[in-house]
Amino acid sequence: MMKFASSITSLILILISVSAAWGEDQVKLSESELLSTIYYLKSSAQLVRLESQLVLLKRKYKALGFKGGTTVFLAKGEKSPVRIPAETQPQFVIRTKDTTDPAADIHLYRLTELNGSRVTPLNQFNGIGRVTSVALPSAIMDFNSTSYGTSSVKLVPTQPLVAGEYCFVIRLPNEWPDKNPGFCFGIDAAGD
Amino acid sequence: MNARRIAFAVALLFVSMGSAQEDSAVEPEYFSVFYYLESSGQLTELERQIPAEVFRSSKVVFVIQGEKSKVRFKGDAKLLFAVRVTEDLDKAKATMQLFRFEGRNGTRELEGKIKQKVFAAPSLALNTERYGRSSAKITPVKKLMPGEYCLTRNNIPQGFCFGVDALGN
Repeated sequence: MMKFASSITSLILILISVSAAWGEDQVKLSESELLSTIYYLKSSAQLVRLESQLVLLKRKYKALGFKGGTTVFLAKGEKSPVRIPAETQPQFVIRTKDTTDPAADIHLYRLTELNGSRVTPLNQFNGIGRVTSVALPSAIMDFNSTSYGTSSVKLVPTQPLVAGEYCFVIRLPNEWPDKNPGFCFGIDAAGD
Repeated sequence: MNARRIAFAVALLFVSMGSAQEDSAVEPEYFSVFYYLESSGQLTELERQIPAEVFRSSKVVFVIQGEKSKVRFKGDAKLLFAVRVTEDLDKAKATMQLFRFEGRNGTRELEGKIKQKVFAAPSLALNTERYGRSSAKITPVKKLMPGEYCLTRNNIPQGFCFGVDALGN
């Protein structure tokens, strides 16, 4: 009787272990060791580190500021040294802390070349510095984020990215300081 | 002694089964993307938008192109939504928002103000509870009147929009 009870207990414990292991992801994916650094995920699953630089929040004034101006994000250099071929759905990977929500804390912008830099307009302001319009929907590129591996997140733009310059910008909660960690890349047109 | 061991193991089995059932819910794949949760448990996409911000005197107006959402629900539909979150449910709860937009001249508009650098407008009340392992299930506290709506979180730029039609339409 004692042996029978012991067998049942063991069987149940084995069942519990099997059920717990069932949901675990058995596929090992390539993840970066660095936190908060964004990589391009090649179709071969190899990670390519994006160009890392501090993206500056700058105000560009018209008529010495009397006519207001434009607030822009500015990245140094006309083109990113990291080039990605045009493809329908480029994918990116970032290792994050558990509670980081990329949808809230990371934005992807398309930038244009201007006087040796890359810029994207964020808003217009008037002569007394009050914001009059925001350029967000045209400047910001929407993306989905999903779990990747054990500690990373995969970022996938919802629309194909056309040829041009792009930067992911990581922001502090509810705040854009003057310098923001940026991870930039360029998309080359097919055939370039 | 043996009876105790068996009881303990059986209790563990039930806990494990319960947990497995909770985890079996089909959860959204993407973080902070809202879906309509059908009674069958299937997830249906809502209309995804990033509204434009237009400043009119002291007010900010969020503007979405198109007077009506393509995603429509009947007035008597039971509206349940699901969204995957990264943080604790209690923290996530405070970020959930549902806004009613006014259809105007081919656009949908929502008036608000900027408070401490963040857009602020009155959100409709929501019930938020755990769904599966990492998601939240959201239901409007009150029945929604016919009109245009968007779900969002106070820290993301996207809105997930839908319309409610009057009964008989």
